[in-house]
Amino acid sequence: MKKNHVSIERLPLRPRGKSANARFGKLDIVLFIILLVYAIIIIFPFYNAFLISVSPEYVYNETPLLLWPRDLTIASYTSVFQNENLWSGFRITMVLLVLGTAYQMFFTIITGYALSRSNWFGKNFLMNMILVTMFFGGGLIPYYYLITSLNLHDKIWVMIIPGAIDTFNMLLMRNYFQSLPKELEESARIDGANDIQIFVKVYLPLALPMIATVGLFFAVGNWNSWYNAMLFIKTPSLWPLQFVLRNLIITGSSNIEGTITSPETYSQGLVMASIFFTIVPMMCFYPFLQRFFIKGIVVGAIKG
Amino acid sequence: MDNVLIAKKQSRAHDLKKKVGRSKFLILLGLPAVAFYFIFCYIPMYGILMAFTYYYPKRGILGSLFTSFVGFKNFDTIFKDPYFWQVLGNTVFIGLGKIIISFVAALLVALLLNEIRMRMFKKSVQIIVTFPHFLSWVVVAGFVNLFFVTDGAINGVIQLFGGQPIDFLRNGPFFITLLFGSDIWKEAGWGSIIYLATMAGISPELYEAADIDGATRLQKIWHITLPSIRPTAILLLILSVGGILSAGFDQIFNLYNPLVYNVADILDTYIYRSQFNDNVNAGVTTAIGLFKSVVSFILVLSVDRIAKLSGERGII
Amino acid sequence: MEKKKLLLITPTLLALLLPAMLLSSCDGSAKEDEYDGDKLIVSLRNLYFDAWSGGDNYTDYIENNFKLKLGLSNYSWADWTTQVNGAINGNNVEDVFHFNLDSYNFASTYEYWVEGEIIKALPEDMSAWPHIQSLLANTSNIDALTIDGKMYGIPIAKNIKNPETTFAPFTYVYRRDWARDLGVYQENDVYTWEQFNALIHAFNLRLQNDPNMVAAIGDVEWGFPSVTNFYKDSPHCFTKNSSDEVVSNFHSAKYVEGLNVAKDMVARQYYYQNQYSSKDGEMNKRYAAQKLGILYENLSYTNYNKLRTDYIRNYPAVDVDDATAIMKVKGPDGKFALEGTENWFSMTFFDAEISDNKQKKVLDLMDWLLSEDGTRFAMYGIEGYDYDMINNEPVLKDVDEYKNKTNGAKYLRYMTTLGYDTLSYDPLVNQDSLTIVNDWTAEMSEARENNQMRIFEEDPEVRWLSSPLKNQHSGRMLSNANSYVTQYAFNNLTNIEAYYSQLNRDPWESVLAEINAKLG
Repeated sequence: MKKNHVSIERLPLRPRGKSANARFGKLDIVLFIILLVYAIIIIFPFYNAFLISVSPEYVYNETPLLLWPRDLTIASYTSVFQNENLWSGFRITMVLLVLGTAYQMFFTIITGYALSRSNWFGKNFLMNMILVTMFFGGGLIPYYYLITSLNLHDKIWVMIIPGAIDTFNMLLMRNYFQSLPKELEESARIDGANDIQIFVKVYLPLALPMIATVGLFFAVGNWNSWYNAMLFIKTPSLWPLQFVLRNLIITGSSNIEGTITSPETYSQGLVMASIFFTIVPMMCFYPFLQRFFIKGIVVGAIKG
Repeated sequence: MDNVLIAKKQSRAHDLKKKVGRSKFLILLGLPAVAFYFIFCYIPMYGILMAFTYYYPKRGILGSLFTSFVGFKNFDTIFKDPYFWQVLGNTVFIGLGKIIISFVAALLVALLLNEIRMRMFKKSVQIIVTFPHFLSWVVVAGFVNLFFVTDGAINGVIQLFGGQPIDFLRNGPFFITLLFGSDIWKEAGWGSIIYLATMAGISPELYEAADIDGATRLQKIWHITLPSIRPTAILLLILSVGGILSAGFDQIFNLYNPLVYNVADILDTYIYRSQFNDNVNAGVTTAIGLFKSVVSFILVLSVDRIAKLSGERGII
Repeated sequence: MEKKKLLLITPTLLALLLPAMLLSSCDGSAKEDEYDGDKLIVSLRNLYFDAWSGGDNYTDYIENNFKLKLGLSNYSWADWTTQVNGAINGNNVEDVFHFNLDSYNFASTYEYWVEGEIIKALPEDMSAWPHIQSLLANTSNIDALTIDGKMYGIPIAKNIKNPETTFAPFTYVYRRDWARDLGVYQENDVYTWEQFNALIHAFNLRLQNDPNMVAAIGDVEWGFPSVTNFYKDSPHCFTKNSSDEVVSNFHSAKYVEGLNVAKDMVARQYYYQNQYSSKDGEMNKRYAAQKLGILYENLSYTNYNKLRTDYIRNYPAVDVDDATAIMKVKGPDGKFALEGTENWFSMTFFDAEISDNKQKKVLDLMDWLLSEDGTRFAMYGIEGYDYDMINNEPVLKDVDEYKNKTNGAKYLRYMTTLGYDTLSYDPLVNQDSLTIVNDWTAEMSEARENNQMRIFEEDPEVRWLSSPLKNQHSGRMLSNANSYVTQYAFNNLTNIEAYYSQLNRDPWESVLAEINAKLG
């Protein structure tokens, strides 16, 4: 640990008007332009995709680079909102989001806390056990067998239960708990608190930033998950949103021989509208949550 | 003498009992983890044994082990296939490239954001550029396809300037560029967070002292800002080296196509395709996976050892 | 350090031994027949089931009559192969499942599954199911699929009424109206090679006056370069030379001749410059946006109908018949050229663990659906309720209502046939499009009989041959060769030697040697 690290609570600002030039120099303008261009590069695909989602098909076919809206239409979005699969995908993903995130957070946090405490019976055993799994795995087929014998095929639980603990997030929690001063525990014990109270009343509240961060990571992971569904879920009403989206994007541009009841060939408009359907919820929540996780990940990584 | 030994043993047992008693709550907390890792990681782990068989689904893993054990033949098949070495080369190239490029990109972004003085602008830019990290590669690949397709936006611009359209998605070198580029687009903002926070934590006295010495801004960056992130960077480096051989399955899986297999195939996509599309026997694909695990493990151990030797703290 | 190591190794070893014993009970025992009341429970999975999952009146009718309880599911289009292989490797297949079997995956799937006792053979005596028996008898190259005299699945017939149509509808659709305007139109859309070239040339000149147009001709992405059809003997890797020896198609003089023609056309800018890098479906869209004069495409009913629908919807002022005319082109040898295919696509398989009784009952259902009664049921429904027989022809009572109903029997029928035979009286089908496609097929069949047609295909003997090096490499060899062909045509490889040297990076010699040795 560097000896002169500053506590993260006091983010010092560059002193204004003192030694640094108060007026904006050439360098500032250059920086401004570079960052502006960078931000535009990030935003532009969204803008362009949005334009496509509100343009009719022939406009897209005729203009490669859509810069301004032309002949706007909401036909794509109407189609999207009528697509039953997307809605059921949305419902399923919401369930995964709420149930799954809570479930994962619970187990990850208690494990992280346990491993952050020193010198208890079995700690090293557990730590080593986890360490080995970070490198070695049996692969997909035994996992498949496992799911079969647990009778989880084609059930929504197959997307929730196997995700109980994410090793990376658990380590983040562990590091965070470790970074909190030991004196807290000692003084709590002196005051007569037992283990449960120390955990719940002392450490948990202090770890809120990290908990929020980890919760966000899990939430985003659940929102974006599709792999387990592809392998184990047959019933279309149980498909999560990203999986439905992936099918839309791929079939929108494929041309399989010999098909009779091929699904409607979706134009790019529908694909883009579907993409926005899945992104917009995230875009709404994102700016507010951004504060939390920046704090959290910083502390978790630096103090680790 | 015996009495002393017995006494020692007894006291050790006594200590142990005490320890267990003290740890009751923590053991309780740790039990779910034990169960979880056991069920979902260790039980499937015996699948590693598949690497030494010619696998028949109906006979199961043990059944195949007993009836069609092939020893190291699967590894022999793999190592003799020139395409495997190409895939391995791709994996190392892409994995290493990503680590370096994303590090440089994240660092640059952090520096830029650190140096800019307009606070509102800085905050807004930060919010914007960290957002793509949260998108799934399904969506980002959709964007990439949209833009870099033959008569897409980028080629439209190129043609506007009189150039010939470029086949980004199907031309090897350009595809690799796209891989790195889209990775930067998605992750640079996110990766810069840690470095930015570290930089913000630098004590301002250092900068003041440098000003007194008459340092230019660039010199300040080189001598103060950059060294401050060294421990963080090394830590992240160690963490990511273990993942070199993984090199980003999700991204490549969603972006690649048969024309670029020879440069874009990484171990994971190769395993996936062999297993599910080309129907290579599961024994062989497991062998590849085992190879990957072993090498990754050795890599992490080595890098950790090197880091420890050069004075930094390791992670193992 | 030692203690630590011990702590590391012990859990691992323990963990490895225990569950291995636990899960060893997971072996392949036979699946017992299970009943729901008096109905036998069967699980069926097929790509074409789409989102249908039973519950309609017609499925109920079938379930009651055949005493079956159907558990239905489908595959997602993009992951069909993954899902089937995942289920097979995880020992979790449905009773009746569906897979895209083709020559390139034959050895690693069909053969492997037979050897591993994963799929169940059909009964030796199929006389109890005459329709299926006849379907099998008409299946092209069924010998390739017969192992030790047994069939292990049902190849799904494309057109059960016309099994002799063993060519694919990969051909040209073009702007007849533009051709007429430019004075290069030929009667009945039949063009000799010279006339075809004149047409392309005229379309190329037309570019100067039409800002929207991008090129005279475009090929569907996987079909470039289509002009090689008129030269090559085989659509894939292998062909036979005059001494009946198996050689590389891509190295052959005939192929290279056609390839040079393509290169020349590209040089003259007849082909759209972005042809090289088009993604799936893009060339089709360009034609639908009036950017191309000629499109080479798989003109199945579905695709052809979509083109016509696009024109009707987007450009009502254009005559759709003229905008989507099917062109018939004769090569330099004066004959039409079409790619030969099997007359079936994908196969229905039975899980090896199901009982003979279950297999028989499913076969009963399949056979009935192929019979006249069953077909009429799948197409129209129940007599007296959905339709009446008037002059010996079924007439729907309420077409609109019918279009909005789900008829499960129709989906179930896809387990044995793709249903091209019923398109002509399917109320949901656009008869205009269908008529045009059928007329074209009939015309081409007739040309074939009159020796006006050259069908090029890979010799079935070679195509279905299973040998280690071929199995391991030919898939990759094919996709590599196709990319070199494109690079050569678009001048990324400037001369033919560069093309050959790229090709030779793959193990052609050893694969061919092995093939020839096996064929003797």
